[in-house]
Amino acid sequence: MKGLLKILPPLSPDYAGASSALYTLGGAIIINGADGCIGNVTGYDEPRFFDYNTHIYSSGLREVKAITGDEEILKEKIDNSVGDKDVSFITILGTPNSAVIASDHKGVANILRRGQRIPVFTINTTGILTYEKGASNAFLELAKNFIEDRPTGSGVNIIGASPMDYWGEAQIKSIKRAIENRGLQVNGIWGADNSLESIRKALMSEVNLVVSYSGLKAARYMKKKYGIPYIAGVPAGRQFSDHLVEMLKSPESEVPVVPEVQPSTQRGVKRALIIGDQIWSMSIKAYLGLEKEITDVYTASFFSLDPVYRSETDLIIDSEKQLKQLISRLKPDLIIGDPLCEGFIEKSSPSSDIEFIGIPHPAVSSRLHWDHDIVYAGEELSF
Amino acid sequence: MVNNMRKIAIYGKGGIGKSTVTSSLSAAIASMGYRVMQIGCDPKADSTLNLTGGKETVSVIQYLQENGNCENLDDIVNIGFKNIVCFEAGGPTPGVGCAGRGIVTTFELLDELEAFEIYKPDFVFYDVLGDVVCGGFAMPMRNGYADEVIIITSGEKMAIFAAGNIRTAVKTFHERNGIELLGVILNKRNVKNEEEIANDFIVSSDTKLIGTVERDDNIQIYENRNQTVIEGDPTLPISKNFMAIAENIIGGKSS
Repeated sequence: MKGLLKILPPLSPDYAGASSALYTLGGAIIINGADGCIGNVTGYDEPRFFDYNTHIYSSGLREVKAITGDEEILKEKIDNSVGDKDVSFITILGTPNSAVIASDHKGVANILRRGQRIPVFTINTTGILTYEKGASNAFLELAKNFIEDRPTGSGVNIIGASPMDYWGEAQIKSIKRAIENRGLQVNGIWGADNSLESIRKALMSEVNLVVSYSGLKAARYMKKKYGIPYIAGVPAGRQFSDHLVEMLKSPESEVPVVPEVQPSTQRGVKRALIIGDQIWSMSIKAYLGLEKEITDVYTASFFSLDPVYRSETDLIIDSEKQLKQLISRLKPDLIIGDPLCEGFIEKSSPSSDIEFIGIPHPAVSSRLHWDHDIVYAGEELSF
Repeated sequence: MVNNMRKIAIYGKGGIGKSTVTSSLSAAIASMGYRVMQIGCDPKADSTLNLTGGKETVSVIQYLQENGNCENLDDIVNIGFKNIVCFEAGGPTPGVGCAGRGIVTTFELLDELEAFEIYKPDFVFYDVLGDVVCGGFAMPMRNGYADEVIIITSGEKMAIFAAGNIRTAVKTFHERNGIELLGVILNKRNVKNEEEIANDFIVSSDTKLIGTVERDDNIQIYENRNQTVIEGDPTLPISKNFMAIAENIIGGKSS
């Protein structure tokens, strides 16, 4: 059955992705749904919930409220929850309940906005799509609501760096170090920063670096509206870091052009498969080619693929069965993906010789593996 | 969003003639040189048949059901009479699923694919199933979609009752989004004292009569050819009447 997950837990939904993009920015995040939806976010999708105090609330949209669609209750609940708390914005996220009854979030936001001096905005999430869609829209709304007109300076913003992708504190430090060691200052990290300042001052940077699919929409908006260029890619290994930072210094193409590498005849690995976010996978693919001389590399993802960055060896997988078939067909010697993806390797078949490297993707394996200390971004990778 | 675009939702009781009147108005306004888009918001996906010569428009929901997602407007658009841009939301098989959600999904997709920016219509007509029955069917009134509402009614009791429900919904959304009731079109069914009944409703709603459509066999004749009367014979009195109503709409911006 297409979409049935037997090995993986449910993939993180769009409202969790949106929450992740906004989580540490000092706003009030209202999830309009039954309370289970906020439970997913705080209990399973947000590593920072346990250490970071954020105003995140559920509207408690249960049966009778859903049937009657009384949105005054939502407004009152927001008023009561947020009250006179010192928050920098209010945002409303949708869930399957509110999506099915077509809750008028924009209308409620319009009314709330009249009594507030802070931005009130909605993010179009339904809980039916996966996390990257919600995170994309959240980063876009940040760009639309908070960027201030400022003269261009120097340096780079990193966009799309929420922990729901791969970007925990250690990885962020590695990325930042790889860029700054090459003479470019990192001014803001969208998804990881603890205040709106880096969003407000975004135009002071001369270029954006997009480190996940989730950051593309905001980067494109900024390019169209303000003319600030962007490059998509993650510093991964010394050579690709060199290459990426050179491109950031003179951004002519949005797609990193990786120098051609001759395949090695020395190593055992002939073919690799990377499973994960598109931009990270693309970067690891470049790393494998440049530093490991592995050039026959496929990527696959349960999540969205942007057509600009997609080649014919980048595949969308929409079921566990399809991933198993893909592994069986490609017969890779190396698979890199979330640790739970190891479960797709048939242990009793010849494919049991496959080398597997587990890289935690919290949108896939949630809290099961997000504490792993493997380094998978920056100059020195653990593999 | 494109500037100066007027987005008008047509509501009324089921079977009152919304699609016929809406298509005739689209055809009339397009005949005057304006760019028009008509979006059918009905699971039957038959709002625009009289604009496309009977060529069925692949509904958004049908396309999504068969293809998973839609990345190109060309896959779901039908260009009809006088280059009217036709979309159909479509929806579930009767008795299952959620038609309201179908409308929400359609509008979100048209937004995502930048339909308004690409076609730059001067007028957008949303032809909406029945009266306002739930959040999904109110979608055209919600922020960023329709700015104005036209109610189509006859003098029949249930049609006036439905019109009252629509008026209530417009009031609710006016407070949030500023949507206005542009007025009422009376589609006559030869009910006794019909104009008086309609006028009472119009007065109590603090709105105006945009036009009256008399019963006319020519409407049926040209519908059988999958045309509006405007396309079929613009010299007919009924065609001229639709042109006059169209003029009232063009000149009668509500805000």
